[in-house]
Formats: sequence, structure tokens, C-alpha cells
Amino acid sequence: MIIQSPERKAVSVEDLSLARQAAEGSDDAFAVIVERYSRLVYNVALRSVSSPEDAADISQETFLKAWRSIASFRGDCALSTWLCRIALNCCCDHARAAKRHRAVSLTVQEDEEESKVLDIPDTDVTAMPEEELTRQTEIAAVREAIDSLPEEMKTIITLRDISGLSYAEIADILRLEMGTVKSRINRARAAVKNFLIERNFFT
Amino acid sequence: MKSNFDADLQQISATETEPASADAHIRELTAALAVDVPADFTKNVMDAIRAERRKIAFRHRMVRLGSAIAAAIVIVPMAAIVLPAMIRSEKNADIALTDNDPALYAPGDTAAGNVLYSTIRETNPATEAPAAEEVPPACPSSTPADMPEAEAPAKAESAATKAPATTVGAPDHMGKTQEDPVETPATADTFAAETKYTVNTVAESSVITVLRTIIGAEKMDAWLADQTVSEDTPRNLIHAFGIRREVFLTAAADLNLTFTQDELDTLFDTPLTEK
Repeated sequence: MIIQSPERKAVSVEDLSLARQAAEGSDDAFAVIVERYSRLVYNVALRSVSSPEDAADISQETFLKAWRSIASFRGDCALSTWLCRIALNCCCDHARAAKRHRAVSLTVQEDEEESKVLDIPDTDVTAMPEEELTRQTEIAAVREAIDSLPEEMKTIITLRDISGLSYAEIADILRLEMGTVKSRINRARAAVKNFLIERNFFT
Repeated sequence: MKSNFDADLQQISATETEPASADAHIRELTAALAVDVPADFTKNVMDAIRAERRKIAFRHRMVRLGSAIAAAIVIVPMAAIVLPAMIRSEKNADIALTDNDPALYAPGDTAAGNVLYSTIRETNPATEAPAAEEVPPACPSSTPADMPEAEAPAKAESAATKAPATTVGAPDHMGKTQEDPVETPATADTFAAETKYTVNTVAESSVITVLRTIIGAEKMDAWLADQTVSEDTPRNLIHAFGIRREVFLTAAADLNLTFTQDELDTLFDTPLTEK
């Protein structure tokens, strides 16, 4: 059964029940919430930072903050919406902190940095089928294209095309009108396409 | 390396129509960017939550402990200061009551006279009156009008013996008041019993009471300090302070004390003896 909230994505009864149980102190209920939404939160965080470790830290911080304030979740929006908002706030906090304390790696070499950008799986490429290698290269190129986008476009294309959220959910998370969301997604996609064309990444 | 993607892009750049396959392909590649969380992610999150819960509980315990310590630091010294002060003020209130007996002191005189009385007090058992169970609130009239003179001395003596042995409201030689829980008002007999001046009659003690009222306790005590107290002391006081007969009678009436004509004549008309 779905509880309809007017003009917002509905919150499911199950999610609401889990939230209430977690608020009462049930670790099992909160663990279910973590299992259910960790992929969504992690991918939102991953698009905001450069490393999977930072993304894991941000995701963990997101769920900690959610646990601290789970009692305040009233079910007026979907649990996924609520968690995404917390995740985006954590990403902003992380970006601000990163600006203040610019860290330079002492161990990573320059060539390793470059290979990380493309993030090609660390496997023996000679053993990889050509098609798979091509695909991996294409994926890396798209990732680079998305990473080059402004934060606003990066977020919206992550929520729509990577995490698979609906326009209504995205509008709820970002507190935007539906038309604005659609417009921004179109512009973000066009920007990715132009990036790929301009870079002539694929020869 | 030619790829389907590359072919799509070339097609897009060649024509201005947007091939649906290119966009769809980009979207498919974009969707492939979604990754799974690390394997132990949920466990790490729950461990972090449990650690947070322990931290919160510890913080609450520390706050409670800190509050208890702060309260002890504040309350204990305050109690050490306030409680003795409260006890002292209660004791002083009790003492003050007995000091203000009008039968013994002139209005306004309180403990000052008592201090002097105690300084001239002799620790002579002979001068101490035996303990009395009850001391009348005011000295009665020295001689009732219709009582024969022969009975007056006997009654006077019995009245004199009723003076309590212990000081009532009067401090000792160190100026400290001995504890006397019995609230017996001081009377002329009491005063007489506590001084060197030997009271032969009730009349003499009544005279002293009246004179003290007129002269004032402080002045009288100061004057007595330089004197050898004797039976002439009342007359010496009268003459020293220039007390007239009418004034004496008025004061006596205020204190409900009466004197015979002979007593008055002795006080005011008999010439002074040499000291």
C-alpha cells in the first residue's frame, strides 16, 4: 500500500514502518534501510568525489546522519528522497572541507593518477575481448564527460541516468519544478555528447 | 579503434538530426557507471552507529557526573557557611529576649549593664543566692500598705532568697553568656544577688532598680565601677546624679514599686556618710 503525498513522490508504508522502528532503536530495521538505499547513496557520492574511498566515507556519514535524525522523518517524502538530500548535503560539506584542506598524495604517482581518471578495470587488457575493452573505454569516456560537467548538471544526470530516479523524485530531492528538472537533464546530456565529440575521444 | 559509439557520433556530427540510437547509447553507457557498494558497507555503517551510540551514552554519563561534582563543589561550601550562621542567629535571638527585660534595665539599655554587673561579681558563695524555681516577672511593692512592718523583713528575705543562683541573661566575667535555658526575667532581686552589694531588704533592691531606671544602666555601671559598694550606695547614687525625690517617686510608680515614708526620708534626707 502506498501513501499518497500530494505533488510528491509517495512514501511506502514499509519504508515508513522501517523508519519508525529504527527511531525506536531497532538496529535491524535500520540495517534494512541501509541495504536498500546504499547503492543509490553511494553512486550519488561517487559522482561528487574522485575516489571510491571518499565516496564510501560520504555514504557512511550520510547514513550516520540519517540514523541521528531518523526520529524526525515524518513520511512527507519518500525515504530515498530524504536520504539523497542528506547525501547531497554531505557531498557539499566534503567539497568545502576539501577546498580548505587541499591534500596531496605522497604515494600516488602521476601515471597512476591518469589511469585512475579513466578507471579502466585493473585486469590484463590483452586477455580482454575487444568488444569488452571498447565498452570499458567508452564507459571511461562518459565518466570523464560527466565529471567535467558543472556540479548542478552532474548531480541531475547522476540521479536520472545513473541512479534511475524518476523526474518526480528528482524534483522532490532538488526542490525544483518538474519542467526545470527535464530541461536540466536535456542540457546535461547534450553537454556530455558535445564533450565526447569535441575531445574526439574515440578515434 | 572503431566502435559503434564512434560511428554514432560521426553520424550525429554529419547530420543535424539527432539519431535516437546515439542518445540511447550514451544513456546506456551512463547507466553502466552505476557501481555496487563495497561488500562490507552495511556492516561498517552499523558498526559506526553502535560506536556513536556508545559515545552518546558515555557523554551523558559524563554530563551527569559533571553536574553532580559541580553541585557538590557549590553546595558543600555554601552549607558549611550558611548552616553555622543560621545556628548562631538562632542562639543570638534567644539571648536577646532575656536581655530586654524592662524590670532590670532602663529603656534602651540591654546587655551593656550586664557586662559590668558580671565584672564586679564575686565568686563568693556567701553572696550567691540559692537557686530559685521561679522568679517573679517584676519586683513586687516593697511593703504592702496594710502589712505590719514586722512581717515585711521576713517577706523580703523570703523574696530575696528566691533570686536564682545562676545568671539569667547576664554574661560571665569573660563577657560570654552562660547557657541558661530557663527564661526567668531578671528582677531587682536578681541584680542584687549578682552584685557585691548585699541586699538587706527588698526595699534596697527596689531602690537600685528605680535608680537604674532613672540614671541608665550604662552610666550607673560606670559610676559603680569606681565605687566600693555598700549600704550607702543608693544614697550616694542619688546625690551623685542629683536625683530629686519627685523624680524618684515617679519612676517608682512606673515600675509599680512603692516605698514607705521612712525609706524615702532615709534616701533623700539623711546626710551622706564619708566613703
